[in-house]
Amino acid sequence: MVEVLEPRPVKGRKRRRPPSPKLLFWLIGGILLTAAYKGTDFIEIGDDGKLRLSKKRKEKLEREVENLKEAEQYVLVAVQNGRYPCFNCGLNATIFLREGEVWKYGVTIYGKKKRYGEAMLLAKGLRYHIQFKGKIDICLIEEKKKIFNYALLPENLRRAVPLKRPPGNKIDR
Amino acid sequence: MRFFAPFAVTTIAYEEVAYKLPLVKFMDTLNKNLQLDKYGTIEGLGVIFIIKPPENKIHQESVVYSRKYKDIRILKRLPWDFVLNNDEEEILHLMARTYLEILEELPTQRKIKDFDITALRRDVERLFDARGWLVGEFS
Repeated sequence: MVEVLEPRPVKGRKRRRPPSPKLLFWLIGGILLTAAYKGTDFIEIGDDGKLRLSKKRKEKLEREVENLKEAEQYVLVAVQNGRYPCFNCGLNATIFLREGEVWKYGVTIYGKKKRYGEAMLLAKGLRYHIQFKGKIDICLIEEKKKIFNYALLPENLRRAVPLKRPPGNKIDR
Repeated sequence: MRFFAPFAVTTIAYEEVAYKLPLVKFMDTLNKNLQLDKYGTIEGLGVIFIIKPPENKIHQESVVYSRKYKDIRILKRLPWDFVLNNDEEEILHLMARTYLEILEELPTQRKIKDFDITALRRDVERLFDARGWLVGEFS
């Protein structure tokens, strides 16, 4: 005869209720936000507890907005007669320019960009002449007009094959 | 050599004054009468004269020395009012005096090895004096 033993009843564990989805969302969001701003220097928590741009970042914004209000449209011309790089004459081409002839039109604002411009003046034998000064949007319009109208300049029309734009301007901007 | 000539001189200026500067004459005088390599290992001495009203701050004075390329790049302002109101000869004299000032100030601004700046300044001064470029008032 087989004795059947009833299994000992097992006390059920109390099942924990899962955290509410809303609470979970805010918890994860808060952790991510804290991790994000703590790892960067461009946002910070203000006195009112709200997130804002860091002081350093805000100062940079104000500075760069001011710079955009004062731009220069310039022309680079040859210092002396000679051969200069030409980006519109075929691969690795150069073009003969006389003293004072246009090599490139451009726009600049105060900033790092000018450093490369200065080195290029001495490397290529160019003079920098300011033709217009004002807000960046107007300077860009002036620059575009000059690049397009270069095609009609007497110094360009004199050539056997006139150029579409100045030798130093790779694109119509 | 990175510069278009050992003694390279050019300008950043408003168009109405830019053409008044006798750059080619100034540069040719330096390059035809002096040899930069005689003074040491420097291969290029580039000077850019800035001629703009004082309130325009897009370009500022600076001295940049490259040990790798053995050259020196200097940006120096010329007084806007003076260039606007004077003719080529006076401007040439101003450029000459300013160039000598640059050479005089250079050792205090940058330590450059194997470059006899004193001898260069002396020879440049003699050259400019012989050309009669060191006369005139600049007040």
